[in-house]
Amino acid sequence: MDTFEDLYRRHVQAVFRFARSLVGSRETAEDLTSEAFLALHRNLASIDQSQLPGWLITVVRNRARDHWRRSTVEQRYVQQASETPAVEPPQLERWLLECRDLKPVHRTCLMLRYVHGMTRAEVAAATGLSEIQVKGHLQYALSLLRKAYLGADTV
Amino acid sequence: MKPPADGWNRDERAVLDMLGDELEAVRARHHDDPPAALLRAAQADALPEELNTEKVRAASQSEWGRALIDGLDTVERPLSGDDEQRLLARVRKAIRSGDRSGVPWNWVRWVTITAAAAIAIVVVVKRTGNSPAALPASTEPVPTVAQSEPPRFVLALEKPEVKLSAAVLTFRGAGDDDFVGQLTKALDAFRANDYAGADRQLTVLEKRHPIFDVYYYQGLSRLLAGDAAGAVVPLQKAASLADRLFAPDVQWFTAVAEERSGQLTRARDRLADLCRTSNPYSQRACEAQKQLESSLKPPS
Repeated sequence: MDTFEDLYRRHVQAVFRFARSLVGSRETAEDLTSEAFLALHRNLASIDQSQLPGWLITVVRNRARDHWRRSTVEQRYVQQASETPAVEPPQLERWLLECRDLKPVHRTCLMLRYVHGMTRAEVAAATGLSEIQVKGHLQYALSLLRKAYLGADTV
Repeated sequence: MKPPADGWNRDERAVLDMLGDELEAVRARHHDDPPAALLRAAQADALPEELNTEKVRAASQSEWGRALIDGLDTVERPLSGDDEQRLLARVRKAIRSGDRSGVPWNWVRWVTITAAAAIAIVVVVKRTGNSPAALPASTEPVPTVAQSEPPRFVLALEKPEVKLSAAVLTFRGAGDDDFVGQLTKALDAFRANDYAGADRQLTVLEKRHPIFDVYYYQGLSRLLAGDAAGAVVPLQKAASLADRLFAPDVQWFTAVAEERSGQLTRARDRLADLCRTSNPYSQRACEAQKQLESSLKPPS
């Protein structure tokens, strides 16, 4: 049977990665990760170690639900009905979604900054990139956008 | 258009002026979209019921939402060695502080809680005149524990045999770079079911050698270790580098990872591609696609 520390070393990256995908900030992901390992320590004697890291992943998922339940900003989406716009999206939106030269991360940076109005620091926090990386991705994406516009009258 | 708090730089202003009203139209369409982090949590089935509304679900499955999440998924910033140590120290500290309180504290706590509960019951029963069975539900949060019942998936996960691509078999590196030796060690760990060890070694290799086999076995290691969400990105990278021989394998295992991480729409689309072409997974893919299709239909 492995010690707690062995298990921590083996699974911490996977648990953190999963936590990071569930919550908006790295700090909260760290909180969820340490809570999961604390729960593991408390239950170490009774846990079948072959169930790891699935057991830890489930703890993280449950803790993430608690985190979202406590969040107040997101509560405003509870009451609103779904509103799917019936009109065709503008060509710019089609370009954003379909341009093959944009890698997914470029696309996300573009969307967050120019459509969702985030600062570079906010984009960096949301994506996990550094601000310098965000700046680089935006520059590249803007150059493609400029080319698309200059290459044709419409995007 | 209102700039963000850090303003536009000259390049940004030039492009934005060029886009004119069209960008405003896109902004207006997505003005009220839920935040990307919420969409991502919805996709991974990590939202409480009250937040997992129709609006949030629809946005997370829309083309726009999926594109946003795709970009977030491709960024991996693992914990550094220092971060790992810092978190471990934090967990240890929490363990110690729990231990210090020890048995006497727990004894006091339980006596206090029991006494408080007894008083509350007496007060409520007296006020309502009802039996204790009619007491209101506790507002204490339900403790979150791991579910004992493992989730059931449509796509079975079976460990594949290790095989190497032409990229590795014909690899010629610099003299001091023992890529093949390191890859062999990682794959030995994979064969021995040490998936976390294989993932660690492949993660190191990935930085210098971003080639198909590294991503493929990294994805498989994570998937077999139960980290389906972490497996999706390396498998998607492997898919973009796969030759014809490996393409169906990668598609299949990516679909497995997507289903297990709650990305059912993507898994279904991938299975549809596999089902359309002739490959060793065709039949299984067609059957699984139908099953996933029915689970994606909203309840009538």
